Amino acid sequence: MNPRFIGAIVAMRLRRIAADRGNVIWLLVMPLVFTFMMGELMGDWSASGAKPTLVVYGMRGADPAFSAMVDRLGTSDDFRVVARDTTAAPARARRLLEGKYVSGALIIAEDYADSVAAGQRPRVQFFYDSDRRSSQGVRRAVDRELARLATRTAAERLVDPAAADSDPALASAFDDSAYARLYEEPRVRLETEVRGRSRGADLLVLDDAREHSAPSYTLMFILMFMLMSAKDLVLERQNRTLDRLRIAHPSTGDLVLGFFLSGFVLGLVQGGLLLLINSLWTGIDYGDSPAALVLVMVLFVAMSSAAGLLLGTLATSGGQADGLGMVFGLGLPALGGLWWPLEVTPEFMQEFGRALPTGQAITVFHDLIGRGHGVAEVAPMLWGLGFWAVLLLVLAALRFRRYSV
Amino acid sequence: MISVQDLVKKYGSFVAVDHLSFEVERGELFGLLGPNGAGKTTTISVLSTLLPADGGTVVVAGCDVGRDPGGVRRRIGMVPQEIALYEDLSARDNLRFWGQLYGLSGSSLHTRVDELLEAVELTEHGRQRVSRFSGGMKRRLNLAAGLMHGPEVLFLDEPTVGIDAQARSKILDLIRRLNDDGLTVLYTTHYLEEAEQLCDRIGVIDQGRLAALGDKDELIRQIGDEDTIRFVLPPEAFDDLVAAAAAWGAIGDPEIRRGRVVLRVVDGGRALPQLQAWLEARDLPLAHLEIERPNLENLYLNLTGRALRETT
Repeated sequence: MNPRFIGAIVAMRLRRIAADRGNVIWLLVMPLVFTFMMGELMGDWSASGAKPTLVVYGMRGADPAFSAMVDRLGTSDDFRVVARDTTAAPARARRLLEGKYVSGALIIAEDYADSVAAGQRPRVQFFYDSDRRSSQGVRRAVDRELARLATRTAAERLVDPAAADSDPALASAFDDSAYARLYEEPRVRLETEVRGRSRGADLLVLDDAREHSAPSYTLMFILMFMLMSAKDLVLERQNRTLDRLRIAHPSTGDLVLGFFLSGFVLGLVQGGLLLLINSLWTGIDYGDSPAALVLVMVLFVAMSSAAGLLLGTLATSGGQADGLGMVFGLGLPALGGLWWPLEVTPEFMQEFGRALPTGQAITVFHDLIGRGHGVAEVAPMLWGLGFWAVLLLVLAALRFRRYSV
Repeated sequence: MISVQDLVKKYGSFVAVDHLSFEVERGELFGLLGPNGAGKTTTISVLSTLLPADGGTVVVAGCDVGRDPGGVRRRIGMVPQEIALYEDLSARDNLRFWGQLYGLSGSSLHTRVDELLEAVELTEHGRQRVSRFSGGMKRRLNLAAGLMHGPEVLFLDEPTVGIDAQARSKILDLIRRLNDDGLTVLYTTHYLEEAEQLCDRIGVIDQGRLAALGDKDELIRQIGDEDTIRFVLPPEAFDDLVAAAAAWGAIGDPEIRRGRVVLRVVDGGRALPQLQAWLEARDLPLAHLEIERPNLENLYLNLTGRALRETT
């Protein structure tokens, strides 16, 4: 191996790519357009940066305490409350939730006030999606307010002379302001702290669709550009610059490494820029493990470059290289969950997708962004990516050797 | 400098080079002449280590191509028929790149690039992208790229295909100059006139086999020295002509082909006045006269039964 020859080949190939300004479209513009476009289109979990929505159906005026609860929910910084003074069928609430129009739907039954007055258990229905983080946040707030309402109702009943189960000794003991003060400033306070992110293994735990679209289209366009570059190798064979390379001083190993590393360097620059731009633009947090982030990018780019090289050695014409590049450049991302999250596909497709390098890479990104995983947790997927990179590079080198005497 | 003995190269069952043998001396400009598909490019590919031979022995600059391909590669330069350049880079960047791959760097690389750009008259266009070059300029740069490391032997595979006469003349002049400076050149072509003008010796190759070998005069002698005279004659006078022709040095009896008499004679210059006098005596015109000296086209026709231009 001669680093000078390898460096000359890498520099030449990068210079050629830079010479064609149209490449910027495929390297940077298209991935960013797709990231934005698909991020916008992928429903509530993107929500264009808007807050999750809790819709409340019911006659709020029927019960002052309940009305106060809804008002308190409305002061949350984490979601907004849309109150509808109508009743709604559960089917409608479910439809809104499944359509990702809202993160939660609260239905107050028409007979709520009457039930309370009659000392019966009033019925309140709450719909939320346990797979969505925004939905989980809304549920926590609703749970807290319902608990507060329930304890207040129970306390009022204890001191209500009309209630059958009231305690006459406490008849004048209930002090509404004292109750409110004690609720706001309890004698015992439970402090909870979330360390890292949700660890639900099979759940999609991203807050914003761009947390998926940014890494996925970065990965997809890296792979696509590499596969489309396979045509260059075919053209080098056809116009016999490859023959010239072969009879010059570099060994076959130098040539293979030169071709591989040129794609590798380009992919790292492309990937690094896209991740950076997306981070600055949409504020995406790639997690707490820079090492895992670097590793997944390095391995995915290596796999992509090797795949492009292998395709270049297999294709017999420029048209064939283009066609195969398009098939694999679109097919692998689709099967691996780059177009849409693997989590929305059937179980067997998820397993199949995670056996592919695209599925492995995006799973690592989801784990880093959504679950706060580190290198140790994502190691199986990184090993998978490494396996693909080595396998494809070895196959490409073996094919490349066929050109040499 | 180049020794090819019983070279065989097959693609599956197709025999592209069939027991080919020839030698090229140091400093010689040797031509391989033949139509497309004759095996010229395959031969040059084996000689330059790009293809393995299926039989025979090839030694280039003292190195066996099978046993020491690296040694061969260090000593040869190759100019393929295709424009083997990166057209999206400048001429200077192309030469610099090829120079780097031959181990040149720094000032020696810079100097060599300048020298070659000057040699191929492209100094003023050094920073221009190759894609903007004319066909002739690309061909000259293609040639320069094969010379970056100062090879002992240069393989040129039809380096003038597809360019005009002026550009071709420039390239041939350049090759002649390189050869005058001591470079051994193996030149393949299907242009007869190029082979005749340029090469010290010529090997005529057809269907992978060497059909003839020698310098131009030797080759022509293989088909004899006779000239051919063609003209139109009324059919009733043909028998008289047959009787008279022997006295003018005719070789064999005259024949009629495509409506014209074909008369082969030892010396056309002497036979023609006698033919003229014979025609005037009979008050016959000399129509559609054509005199043909022996040439490589005749040789090729003679060897293969086909005209070279019909096969290219």
